[in-house]
Amino acid sequence: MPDNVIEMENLVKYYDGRCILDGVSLAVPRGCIYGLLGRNGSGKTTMIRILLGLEPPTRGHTFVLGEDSMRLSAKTHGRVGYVAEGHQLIQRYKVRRLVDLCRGLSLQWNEELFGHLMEMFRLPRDRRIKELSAGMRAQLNLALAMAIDPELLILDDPTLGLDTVARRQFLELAIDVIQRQGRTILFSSHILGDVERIADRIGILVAGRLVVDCTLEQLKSRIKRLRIIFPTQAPDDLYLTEVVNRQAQGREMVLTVANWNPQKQAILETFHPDNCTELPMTLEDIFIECTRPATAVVPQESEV
Amino acid sequence: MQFRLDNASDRPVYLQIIDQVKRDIALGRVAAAERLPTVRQLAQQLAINPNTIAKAYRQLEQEGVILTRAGAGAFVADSDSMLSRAVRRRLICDELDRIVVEAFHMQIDKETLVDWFAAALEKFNLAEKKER
Amino acid sequence: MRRFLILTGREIRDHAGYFVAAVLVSALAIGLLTSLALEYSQKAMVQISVAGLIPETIMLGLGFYAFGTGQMYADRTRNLSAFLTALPVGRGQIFLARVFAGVLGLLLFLVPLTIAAAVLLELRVPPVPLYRGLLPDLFAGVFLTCLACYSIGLYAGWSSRAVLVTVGALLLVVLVPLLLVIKGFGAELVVILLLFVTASLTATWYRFSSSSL
Repeated sequence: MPDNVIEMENLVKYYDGRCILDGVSLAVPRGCIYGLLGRNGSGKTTMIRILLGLEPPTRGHTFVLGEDSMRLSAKTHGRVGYVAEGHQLIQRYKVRRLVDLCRGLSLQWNEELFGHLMEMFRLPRDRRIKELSAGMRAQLNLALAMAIDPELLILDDPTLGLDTVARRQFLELAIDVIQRQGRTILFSSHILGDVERIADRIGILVAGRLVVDCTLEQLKSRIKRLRIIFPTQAPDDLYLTEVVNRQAQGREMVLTVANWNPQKQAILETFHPDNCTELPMTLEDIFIECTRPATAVVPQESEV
Repeated sequence: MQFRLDNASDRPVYLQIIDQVKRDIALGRVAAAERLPTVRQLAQQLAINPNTIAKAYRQLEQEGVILTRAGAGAFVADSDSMLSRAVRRRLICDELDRIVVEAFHMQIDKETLVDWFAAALEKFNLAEKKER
Repeated sequence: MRRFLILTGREIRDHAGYFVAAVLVSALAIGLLTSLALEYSQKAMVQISVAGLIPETIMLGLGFYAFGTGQMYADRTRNLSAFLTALPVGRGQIFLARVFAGVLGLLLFLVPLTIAAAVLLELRVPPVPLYRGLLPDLFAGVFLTCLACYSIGLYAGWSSRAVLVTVGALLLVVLVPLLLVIKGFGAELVVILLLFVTASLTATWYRFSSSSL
């Protein structure tokens, strides 16, 4: 039985009559770095907030470290490091006071690590939080989340406002965390390059639905971009199912297809192409294809 | 061994690592039986998921380019073994096929292609001599 | 336990103004009481005290109502609980610490005043048993009235439908002291007020524990 650190069963959330999450089911196994992607307003932050018990779901259940999100014990909160979207923290407090508060209330605290991070990020202790830049607040938030030696890190857009060097530092930190026994990371981000680098599994939220939930490798194998050269003009009547995007110019056609399989290969063959090469797709390419409105074509479990 | 990742490239990260390992071996930068960085070290250095590194190392091992020994790490395989020679042949020929197809689509004729190939060989030899 | 104290300390520090005000008003009241006791005759003193009772208690009520509202409103606007729940503290602990701080503030105001009143009674009034029983009743009555207004304030401060709730709450804050005057000090008043406080705090806790943060 896999040890799932996060579990979601048919999560539904309505807010002000609008459907934010429409039946999301998800499981994050221990030791995984899960990258959650989605356009602005797709429901990522709501999902994370429900996970942490900050908001109640309309229907469905979520579990963190085996406990129901709506009844998370203080102990479980102590095992989860959270970086909230926007990194608001407590604006009025000075950094020092906030740190003391966190240190006092936490179950475990790695002062060495925290001190090292504060130094690395060069965060001033005597300034008020509202006087810090967004990036510095993000870094403070991250340092506070890491100082408790969390089993699970839940990060909502953790690199918002971070400069290039700081983003790299964050990635290295994340890798460092994951290398330790039994740690798991769930993070949402708009910087797909970062997600591609460090994530094991990818989830893509489109309009409240999880249209993709698999490993990065599987995702890349399920959606393919092909460059096909035909002897004469590229045919107009190449009917393949689950074509996400098609571009034709002269003899050349670039086809983006989900769930490529021998059947589709066979259909393509009937048009006698001269050559067919696969063009590598970055995560960004795949993401853009998956989030096109009214596409309704998504990479599924292969039927083969 | 120094690794560098090209973030802008379409080529998947694990393939980039595989390429660089092979390149370094081909250029004689890494000797046979020399130890490669551990998965952990490399993951930390490049800030990428350790599973990606592990995958690259697994494939390199399958291709006979490296050997892993439990507890000891990954080592460059003896480059003269029969197995790796066949593997190397297959890999190079795959690349050659790809180039031939590309050239065809770009309507580059055979003679020009051969000239360019010779020039590339020459350039490589010069670069190699410089490094030595 | 340690964490509860840290939370309480946090509340007090954040709302230090109210605690300072409590001490100042207490001192003021003691001063007034002392001057009254020294200047006027016993009979006149009783008359003045009774006359001033209603406006005094209403003001007190409003003061503690503001305290309760202030605590909750500050939480809402500064996203305090949202931040704190990510730490290993339950909403219950946060709520209890808050109420505890409120009660401490209330005691900070009332205890010195009660002591002063007791001393003055000793000095200025002949030791008749009747009067001895008065002070505990007085203390209980005032304490519970202020606590009731404080708990209404807590409820109002957390509520999001600000205007409606505030108006309703203010009405109650005026009514409760009137209750004190009508019913007079005694066991009945204590029971009514206790029920009131319980209902108020329960309602507030219910909203607090189920709110989105």
